[in-house]
Amino acid sequence: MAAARCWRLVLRGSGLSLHTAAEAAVKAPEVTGPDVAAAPVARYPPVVASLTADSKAARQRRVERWQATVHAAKSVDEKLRILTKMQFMKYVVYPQTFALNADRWYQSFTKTVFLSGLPPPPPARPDTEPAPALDVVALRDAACDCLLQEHFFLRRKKRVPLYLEHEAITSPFLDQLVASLTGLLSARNPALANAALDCKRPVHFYWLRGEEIISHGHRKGRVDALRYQINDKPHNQIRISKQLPEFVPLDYSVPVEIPVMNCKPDKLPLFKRQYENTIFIGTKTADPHCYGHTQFHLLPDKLKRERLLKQNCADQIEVVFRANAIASLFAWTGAQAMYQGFWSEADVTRPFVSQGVITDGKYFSFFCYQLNTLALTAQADQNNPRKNICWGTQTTIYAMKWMEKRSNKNPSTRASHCCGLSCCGAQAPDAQAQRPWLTGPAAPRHVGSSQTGARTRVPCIGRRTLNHCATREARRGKTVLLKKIQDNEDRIANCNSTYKSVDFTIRVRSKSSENEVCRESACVVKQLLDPIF
Amino acid sequence: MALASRSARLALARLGRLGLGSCGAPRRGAYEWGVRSTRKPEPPPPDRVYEIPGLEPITYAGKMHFMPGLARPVFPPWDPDWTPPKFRRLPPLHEHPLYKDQACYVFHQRCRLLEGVKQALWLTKTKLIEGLPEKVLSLADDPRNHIENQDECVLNVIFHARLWHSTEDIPKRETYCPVIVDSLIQLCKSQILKHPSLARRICAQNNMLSTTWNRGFREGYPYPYPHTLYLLESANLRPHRFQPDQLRAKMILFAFGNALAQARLLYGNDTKVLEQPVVVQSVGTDGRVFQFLVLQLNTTDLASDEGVKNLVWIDSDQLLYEHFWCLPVVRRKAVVEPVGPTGFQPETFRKFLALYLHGAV
Repeated sequence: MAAARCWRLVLRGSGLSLHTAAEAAVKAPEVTGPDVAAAPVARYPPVVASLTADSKAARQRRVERWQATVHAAKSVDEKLRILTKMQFMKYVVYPQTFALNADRWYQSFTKTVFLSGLPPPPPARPDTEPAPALDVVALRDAACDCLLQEHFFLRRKKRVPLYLEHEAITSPFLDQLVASLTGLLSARNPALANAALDCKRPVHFYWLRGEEIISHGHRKGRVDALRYQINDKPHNQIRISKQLPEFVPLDYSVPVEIPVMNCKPDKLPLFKRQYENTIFIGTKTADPHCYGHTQFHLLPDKLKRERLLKQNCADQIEVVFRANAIASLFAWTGAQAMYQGFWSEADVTRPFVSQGVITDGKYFSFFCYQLNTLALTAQADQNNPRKNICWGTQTTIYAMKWMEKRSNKNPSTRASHCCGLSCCGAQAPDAQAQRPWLTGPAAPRHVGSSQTGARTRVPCIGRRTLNHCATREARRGKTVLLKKIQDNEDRIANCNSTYKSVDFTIRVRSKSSENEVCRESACVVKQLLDPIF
Repeated sequence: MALASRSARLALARLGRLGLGSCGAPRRGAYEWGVRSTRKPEPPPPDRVYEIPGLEPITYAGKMHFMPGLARPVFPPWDPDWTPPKFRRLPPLHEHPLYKDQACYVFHQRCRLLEGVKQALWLTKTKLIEGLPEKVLSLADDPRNHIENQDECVLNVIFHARLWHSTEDIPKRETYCPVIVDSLIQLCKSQILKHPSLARRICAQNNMLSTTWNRGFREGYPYPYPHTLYLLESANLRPHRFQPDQLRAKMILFAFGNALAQARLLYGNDTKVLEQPVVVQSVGTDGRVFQFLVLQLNTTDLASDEGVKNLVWIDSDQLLYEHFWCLPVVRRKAVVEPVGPTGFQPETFRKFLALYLHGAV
């Protein structure tokens, strides 16, 4: 029967909008006979196209029948089942990708506009009392405690090798940070007190966008929809039971254009696979905490800054963060919308909003995403002016500097470079280029070897440097952490009362009794303090 | 040269001449002429070193290469100063630099005590008291400490852990056990609004590796006092999990270890009776059955059998729910058991919350 055959979501040049077609299929048509103004009962069966013929009209009718079953589904689970049960080859989109300029591609796949900076704060309501002052000191202390616990205080059975540092140290640090900040900020935001915190739970989303002509096979030459699937695993996510308020109205028109890519997604590179189509926000549909608040992502070692710089891809650093944010947050908000029963033919009636924090352990970026439309298929997108919007910041640089103290015993030259190791007389010749964020007092200085007195410049591999300086300094217990931010200056200039600049000084009292340096530098940190957070 | 000995090289050359490869098998695509004989080739003549007493042999050792007519030198056996780690042999135990005469028994996370709680009590010089202390029970029963919709929240947590958190139909214990404990702790943390001192806690996840229990953390750690240990038994197969008795024994010993480390930190290494006892709590679970434990360390003098003993309060085998149906049980087209937990006991979560709030309320 035609119902068992493969359906296609594509309406090829039928010229009819979906609404009238659906009505034609479901309701009685206009009576062609003599005008019957008030008699809805048709005396003849409806004149519609065939269901099984090999014609465009028949195909359209089959598609509309399928869409009618989705509309008529009683529960969300059934709706999702009907939408995802047929499996075809689809592109697998990875949010954390090394592909060049992936953020522009992902913007075109998800119909997202990227705006730098953070969304405008909501207007202050006069009836609500002002929120209590934020205890920044406590937050700062909690963040420092999490960091120090994982990097320094916690004794592990074996010293963690560098290639395992990411999963053994950075990952628990992010867990602790999220848990402690959520606890501390729940006084200001009661929704956080009742929120659900997920650790490494999968998030899946499946959608269709665009069309292609099938190049080979028994269906060669025919038009086929492009299908995409994201299987993401955010490191942490916070889910709440009440939806976050919108940033901008649903039909807000953004003057920025979405990038249009002129080649097939295969060029990204993106590969096709056929497997289960899943739509999952981290929990099943029955959970009352079905709206998202914030996701936290940890970038793998493969995409870290030093590696990208070594590959001469310094401009791709921001791209990695942006691509991850756009893909992950689109998948999450899209899945949340589908859990409420919306799909591409039943577009969202209210915007779905979520936030994201992407980090690689040292550098943080903050993103906000508003889903305004799910209608991304070729048929539904014909007259759809809405766009999804993603706001994002630049990466917040978080420089860890290990400072070697001048020993009283040997006041002569000691190597005081970023390594902090006294006997390492090495200095990266282009340290400034490799680590441009170390400026001023943080810039690596010329060194001389204490043993030979030579002033040679030997390349010091930054990675190994940090490794041995981490253990040495940790054993001696002298660490000074600085936080320095590189931010949008105009944002600081335009900040209003809800955004506050905060002095962020982290300092650890040195335990070693030998010598006392503890030079601390206070730097300015911009913090996101929206009432919705 | 890969083959240093002369005989091996000769053998290889002979094989090569016959058209055979290195292993004695014919080369690929090579045809051998001649009759195949099954006679083994004769062994090569042994290289002998001839010793004539009274005569000093003149050898080619100084020339550094073979010289026909000169005697074969005998070299002293070579003593490599470095062996690759693969071939290293350990010295016998009593020659090891750290060897002590008195044996030290190490207890780690996978140790199962055969006698269970009795053995653990003897090892730590502890007296057992059934049930939790009154202070904790009063916290549990105090209605001011309850979260609103506590039962509903706990049921949601059970549903989430046992059914909702993964795309599979029936999640495995390895995934649902940590999820349920994390969610229960998160639920307890929602009380932070009422008791702000709860914010002064941090969670350290040592569950993957067994850390050094004599000194858990370095000096200067801002959260030096252990509060509660959460031990999870999350293996999928029942034989891999600990029996409840063994789990309780493990909880006693780990709580004791933490308390002892804390006591050593505060009062030094000498054994004595503590003026201020150290209290450590512990919760052990396999996702469904909970064991609660409060240990009070009164003395570090464990050598003698008399004197002040340590105390431990144990509440064992508290079920949170009897069973959880992930799929509805349908008999003759009627749903006999709906999806959800059966035999839910809210009392267990109250005790969990009481242990969490203990010390902060």
